Amino acid sequence: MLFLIIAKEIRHNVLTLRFAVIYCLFFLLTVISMVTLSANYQSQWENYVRSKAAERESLRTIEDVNELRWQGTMVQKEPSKLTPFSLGLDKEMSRSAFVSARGGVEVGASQYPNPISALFATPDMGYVVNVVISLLALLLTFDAICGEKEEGTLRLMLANSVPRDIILVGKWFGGYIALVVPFLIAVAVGFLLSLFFTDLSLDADAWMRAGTLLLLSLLYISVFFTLGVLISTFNNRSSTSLMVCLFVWVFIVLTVPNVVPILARQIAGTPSLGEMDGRRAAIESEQWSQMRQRMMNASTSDEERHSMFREVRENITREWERIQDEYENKIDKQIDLAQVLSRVSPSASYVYAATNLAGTGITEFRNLSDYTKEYHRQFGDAVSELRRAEGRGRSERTVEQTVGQEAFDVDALPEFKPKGDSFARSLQSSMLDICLLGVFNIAFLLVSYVKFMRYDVC
Amino acid sequence: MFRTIFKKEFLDHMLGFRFAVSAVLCLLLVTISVIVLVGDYAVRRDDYHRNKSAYMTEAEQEDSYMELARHGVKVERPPAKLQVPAYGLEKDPDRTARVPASGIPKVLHELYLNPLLSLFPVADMLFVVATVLSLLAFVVSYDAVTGEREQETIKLLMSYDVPRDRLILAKWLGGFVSLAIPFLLSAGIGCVVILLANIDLSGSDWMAFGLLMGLSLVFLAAMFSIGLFVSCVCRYSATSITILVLIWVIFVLVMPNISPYVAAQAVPVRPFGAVESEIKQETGDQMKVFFQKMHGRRRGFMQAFRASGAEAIKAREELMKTINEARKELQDNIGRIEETKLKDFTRGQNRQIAFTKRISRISPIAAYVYAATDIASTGVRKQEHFYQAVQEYQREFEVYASGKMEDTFSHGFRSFFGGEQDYDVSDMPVFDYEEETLARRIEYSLWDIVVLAGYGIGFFFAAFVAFMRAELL
Repeated sequence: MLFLIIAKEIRHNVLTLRFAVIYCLFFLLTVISMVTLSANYQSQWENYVRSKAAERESLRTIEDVNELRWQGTMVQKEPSKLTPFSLGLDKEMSRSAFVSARGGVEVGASQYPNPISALFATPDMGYVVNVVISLLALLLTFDAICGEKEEGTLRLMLANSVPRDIILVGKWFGGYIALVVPFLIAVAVGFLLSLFFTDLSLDADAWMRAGTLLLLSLLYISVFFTLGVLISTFNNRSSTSLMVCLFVWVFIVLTVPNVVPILARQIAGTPSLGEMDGRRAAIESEQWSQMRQRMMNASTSDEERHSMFREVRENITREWERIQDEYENKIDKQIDLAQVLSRVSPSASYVYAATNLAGTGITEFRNLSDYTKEYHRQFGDAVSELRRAEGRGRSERTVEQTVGQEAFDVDALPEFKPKGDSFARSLQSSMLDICLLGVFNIAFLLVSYVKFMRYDVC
Repeated sequence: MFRTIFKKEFLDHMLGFRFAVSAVLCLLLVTISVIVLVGDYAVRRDDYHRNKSAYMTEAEQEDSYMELARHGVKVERPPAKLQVPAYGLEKDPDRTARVPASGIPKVLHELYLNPLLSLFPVADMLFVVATVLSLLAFVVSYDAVTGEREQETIKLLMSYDVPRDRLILAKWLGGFVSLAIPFLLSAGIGCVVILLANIDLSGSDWMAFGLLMGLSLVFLAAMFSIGLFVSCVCRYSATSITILVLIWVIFVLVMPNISPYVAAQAVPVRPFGAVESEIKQETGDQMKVFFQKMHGRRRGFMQAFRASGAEAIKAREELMKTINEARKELQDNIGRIEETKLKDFTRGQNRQIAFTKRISRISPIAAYVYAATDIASTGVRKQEHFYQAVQEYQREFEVYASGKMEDTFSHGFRSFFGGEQDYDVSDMPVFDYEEETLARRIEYSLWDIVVLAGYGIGFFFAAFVAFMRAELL
């Protein structure tokens, strides 16, 4: 009997105009977004390679290590392979960073030069699932129960010897399959087209991430599917149910995630940038004036003065790092608060988990900033190592030998290669959101089950 | 008769469940968004003032005018007052620029910040109108004609002596007014919250706000006309709602979002990273030339510094002048390099932006968003204007800094480098960002307004013609 109901549901959905339109939409949307964003990945990748080559060229013209010390180098993260699935924070993470041994890290402009892309949401697969398919899931299910009641077929069905729970489960499965199968086909076609027409190619890790992302999307779609069934068991008329569904969708998908980050900024404030600059300057001037005092009080030898200088510089760096850590902790608190509050909406959970899995999420953003700082240290160490080596070499070589030679090997510099989280780590960091989606699913299903058990079919 | 039909249409909508839900939704959404964004404005305004004074303190703490000219002054873009109805590009975290006396002003960016704002769109009034109300415009209009046809009340209506043009006009007006009411109510709430929060809008700001609301009405009229047209063409309500949902998804969720990425493929720009590297390289070359020039004269310097007597002082001053000139030349050269490279890049970028706008204007939502953000001064144009303002300020600052350097320089060597006396920046020009005049903003967004109006009028006439020729009986 269960299979009969499932088959009936599928047929019921597939043979309507609604389904034809939804199928066209899926197809168009998913394929266009996949191909466009794969092309975007390709050009981002080419840009990355070109920028890297230009930077190498610029490093080659540097003649001595001292020059390298103040000229520094420009580094950039390579674009994530899974941007066609979820672009996430790639725009922010593609900013170039200028690293030198004489100052801090200077972050440059994003490699996405078109400001209009910030005016609208990014049309990646995550967006299609998050916004479009969630709406379509509700449009397919808003009349699942109350529609049949209106037509009177619900009474007919219950006249057979079929328990109510079987009807509910059968309806759920039938409708879900009718929704998810076209989606999977569209994703597959879009993906194949991108593989053929662009340079997109995935390694084992990326395949695993893409697969998990797809499963996550199925879970997310099922949340909305169950929600639609739930709303339809609460109503007796399908027109009421449709309006309630739209209402709920607008709140879950369009309101909560878009309002909460701004709200969190007001609740958990962080010091402004100017304030931070002021604090840094205060630390610097305080340290130097202390040193001046000490130098005035006692006559010092050159040796002592040198060590004093070094000490002051170290102190300043340490203090700067301390207030920077404090600042970043405050930002982290703000991010945490926004995440906790926005998880009321399954849509936000989906975005957090999907971007994390695609390597373009908040965790990776944090990792990149940490890695850039680490790289800055490495670069400083490498430069001082080179200087020491050059100091040794200079005494051995004559002037004629050094002229016309490259002063240092460009390859000797550390390579900027942020190692992203492993798949297991990414999965772990998105586990909470995945569980939440599961909980939403089960809760909605249970409530609709209870409600349907007591549903007045007449 | 016209009035009767209008009244019937209007009441039909007003008393329906659809209207109740949409009005509640609209009011609730706008209220939440306005309250949150007004709070956000207050936070950002405080930040802005704090930063401004912090940057002034920073300038005061420099050792000498030369250092000040070299390091530059930091200036910040104030938050736009009309961010409440249209947040636009205000979510862009790049707000501060460092302006040295010569060379290109550099936009500063923190290594770590809260990235959540770039992960989700902002729910401002513009967003509510562009997504939610545009959907409601379709929900209200999809069965305007098909519904009556299905219920066969249209036959009844036509049996009275009422011409078809009167009928369709009344239907349009009744539907549109019932759509405009929830919008106007929520705009009213927005006004009240803004007034209570004392955002201190000036006369022209209020005018811009009013214009924004008018523009939203034009946009809603355009969307409503599209819905009415589809309703006239289709036979069944189910067909018409399905087609309209399809159109809505394409107009709202696909076209505007995908166009920047299509434009990036069609009109590619040189990668900015490569431009930055080239600038770095050529700047380095200039510095190298400068240092070599200075290196050759090292002995002369040492002699001049060690010697004493009236002649030595004169020689020293002569020397300082040379150094200063060489430094100035270096800075000018670097400035020129940066300018040509960046100009090249900006030209490409502007071409890409123009192309994006051109292709995305097929969707009225895109045209609406461009016009609204430009009028609210939170759009693409604002960024350009801010940059121009910074350049203007730089010219002022350069005049100030070089004048001061000249003054202190004539006082002699010690005050030039030492800076313990005479350094006072209280008369330094202050960066006061002023928004572009409303007239200029309107001029800039005129094309989008025309497109929107064209949509509204075009589809209304299409609906009119379709209704005239429809087989109603």
